[in-house]
Amino acid sequence: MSSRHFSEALERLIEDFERNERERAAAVSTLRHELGNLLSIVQANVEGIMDGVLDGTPERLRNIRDALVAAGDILNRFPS
Amino acid sequence: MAKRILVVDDEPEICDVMASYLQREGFEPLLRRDVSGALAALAESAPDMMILDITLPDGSGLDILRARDAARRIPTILLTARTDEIDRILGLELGADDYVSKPFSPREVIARVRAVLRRSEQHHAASPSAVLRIGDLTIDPRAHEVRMNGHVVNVTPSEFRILALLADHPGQVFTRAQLLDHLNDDGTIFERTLDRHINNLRKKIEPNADEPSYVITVFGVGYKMRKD
Repeated sequence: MSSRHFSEALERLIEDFERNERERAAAVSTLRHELGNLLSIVQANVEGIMDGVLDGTPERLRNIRDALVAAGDILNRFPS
Repeated sequence: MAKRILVVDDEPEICDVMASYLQREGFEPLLRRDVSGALAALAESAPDMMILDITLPDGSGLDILRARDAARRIPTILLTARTDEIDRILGLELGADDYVSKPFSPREVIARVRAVLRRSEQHHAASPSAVLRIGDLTIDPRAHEVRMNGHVVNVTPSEFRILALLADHPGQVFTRAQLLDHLNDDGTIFERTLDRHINNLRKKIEPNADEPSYVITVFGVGYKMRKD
């Protein structure tokens, strides 16, 4: 392999690496946002019920459960 | 008249809970789910304060911050699941007064709403001048003197300021941010230093520093002086 080809191949490798890094960072940021929102729903509702600001109706409990299930789904999308 | 607070978050659940808390605290919540709705609300109903999520379906909460009328600066707390430092700094440079990371405690948000409103109204600037009495504790702001059971207790200036503020509002919770704000405007005192001041203060005034009965920790929020 000529040195020109070698440097081109190296450049492509670096570009690929940088693109992957950007995509990974974007994916992490999205997951973070989604998880943050879901956990906020859980925490805000549970605290609301504890503080007597909200009623612990079956519908509210279902919403809390749904948020937890969705958070669990996100967790399962992480590579193990 | 009730203070009108604009809450902008794309999660209806979060808006709903914040609205319940704000109502209970005597505020008038105004809920919007996106940037365009928020801008319309800003133009129509002149809120006294804003709580903004940064990530919104049609843009960024920071766009709302930028669009604020410079002549009428509205106190703002940012709410965000994106903890990137740049967002925080940028947000605060744009003139946000505070931020809360998601997941958040609605109680804490309410405490911060009160703190920011108080700061913006500059109500807290004046220190008390009358002698304060709580249980066996006496605080004389004019003489800068603290007594427990009649005996003078030597406290540092920072400890005195914390104690005087708490004792002037028995039963009212102050967040760490509020206490730090009260102690020092130049931002050189950090939360851990504040906790150390509180610990030292307890050693000096509490009958049993391990089970404080005057300066009480409100877990996850801050500190308060017991009601007499």
